[in-house]
Amino acid sequence: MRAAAMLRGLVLVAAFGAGLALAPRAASAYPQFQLSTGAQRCNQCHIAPAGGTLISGYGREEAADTISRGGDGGFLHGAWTPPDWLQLGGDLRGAFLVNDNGRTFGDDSSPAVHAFPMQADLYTHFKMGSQLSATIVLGYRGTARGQQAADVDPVGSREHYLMWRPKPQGPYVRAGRFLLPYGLRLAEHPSVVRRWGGQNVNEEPYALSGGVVKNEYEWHLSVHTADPVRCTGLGCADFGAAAYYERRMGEKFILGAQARIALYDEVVRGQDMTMTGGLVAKYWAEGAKLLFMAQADYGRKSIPMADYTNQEVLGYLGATWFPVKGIMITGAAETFIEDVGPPGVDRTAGSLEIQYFPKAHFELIGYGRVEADAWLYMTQLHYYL
Amino acid sequence: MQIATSRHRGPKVALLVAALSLGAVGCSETDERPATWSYISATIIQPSCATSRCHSRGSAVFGLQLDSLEGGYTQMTGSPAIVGQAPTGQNFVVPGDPASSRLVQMLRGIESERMPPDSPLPEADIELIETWILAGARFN
Repeated sequence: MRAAAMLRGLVLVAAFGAGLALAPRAASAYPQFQLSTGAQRCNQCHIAPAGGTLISGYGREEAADTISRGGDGGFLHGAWTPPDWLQLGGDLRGAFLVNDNGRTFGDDSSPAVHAFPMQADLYTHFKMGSQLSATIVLGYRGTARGQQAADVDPVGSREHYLMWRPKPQGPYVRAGRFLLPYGLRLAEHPSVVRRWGGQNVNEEPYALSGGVVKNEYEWHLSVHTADPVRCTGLGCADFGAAAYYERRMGEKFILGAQARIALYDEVVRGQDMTMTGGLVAKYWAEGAKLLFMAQADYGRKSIPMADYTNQEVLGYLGATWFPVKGIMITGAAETFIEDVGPPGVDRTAGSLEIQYFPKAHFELIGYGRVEADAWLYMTQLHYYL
Repeated sequence: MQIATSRHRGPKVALLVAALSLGAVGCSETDERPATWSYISATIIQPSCATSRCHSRGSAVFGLQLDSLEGGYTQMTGSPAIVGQAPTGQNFVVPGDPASSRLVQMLRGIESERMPPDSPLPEADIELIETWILAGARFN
């Protein structure tokens, strides 16, 4: 059985590799699993203190026993177990996308269709003694649309960091490149709280981060600067700081608060500072098998040359239903208001996502999203090592 | 001022009711944002277009790099933002004529892939860009 499962996995990997030019995707954590699987902390299932990328041994067991409809969640389906000082993993995703955004070519206004690679990342985590470790995420860099400049290096590492952490629960410090602990940290990067909240694809900054993670609460403080070559977008300030605090109230309710400041080169960006803050909440309704998640942020962006300050609002409200083992259905409503002053500058969206986990390591996703002037549907195939 | 009417409003009503309630923040009736390049670049062009996978130094899709105030202006207008800088061969803006400007056509998806492909700009943002072009598309 193991050999057959492994063969299926290898065939899938080969299909991805042969057919597609691969592209990295941001953190692939599923915050829906917090509370709903009985896990209190993201770092119960993930190596990183705030979740994302490589999953732990416990996470692999949960992926097979609790989340999927069977299988062996171990590395290479349990065919080989790395030594204690080494943990390996990876994520491969391919997507088929239908996107209607209102374009016209003469009489043709049909939706655009893309089949493209979404993610091809390999994860390596080395332990150096009992308290120090190094994590490296390496992925092939591509693009779904258009053509890149010729000098763009196709291989990139969106996360790599050194970490001091004596125990999974307790204090930690890490330094390197990684997605900042802030907000819900959804896997879906089109979500407004990621897309417009400084956590879009490849917006991981270089940061020094520290905090305490316990079953009852966790907090993280980070200072960061941008990768001068690769990191662009809202998340890549010249200098910034972020704080996140999360309190677990029993096994059903979580309340969090976050704040962030980002300083930019005014001459280059046209803005000099963004200040953002907000709240996060999760509630698990055990009887109904429903997890509710919400995030709301308010931000001020100053633009000195224009003598104007934008006031932004980001909001996410979602509910995930776990009808049977191996199936997860999430409906969400979201909005990004670019400026609360003028009318009609919001990006408001609704989405529905169905995730099916037939066996450990495999996932099939159907994702639909509607915005004011656009809609998209995506089928995604996901395999993790 | 509106060059083209908004079209292709999707089937959004029922699905977006809850989302709209999220956005129920008090707004004024008029758009008082400055129709200047510094505002448009910082709040519309860079966040929407200069993401790491698109028109930024990380990717520069189709040779377009819009992740700076001055560089983005030069690439959009073909004119240097500052005296002494070299002009570019590209020109997406016809000063004083929004309807003929390639930028506006692409933002509306007229005879073109619509930009940005993932999340089109709100009509109010496109109109603000048209106002800036109509006023001469200056570096201001």
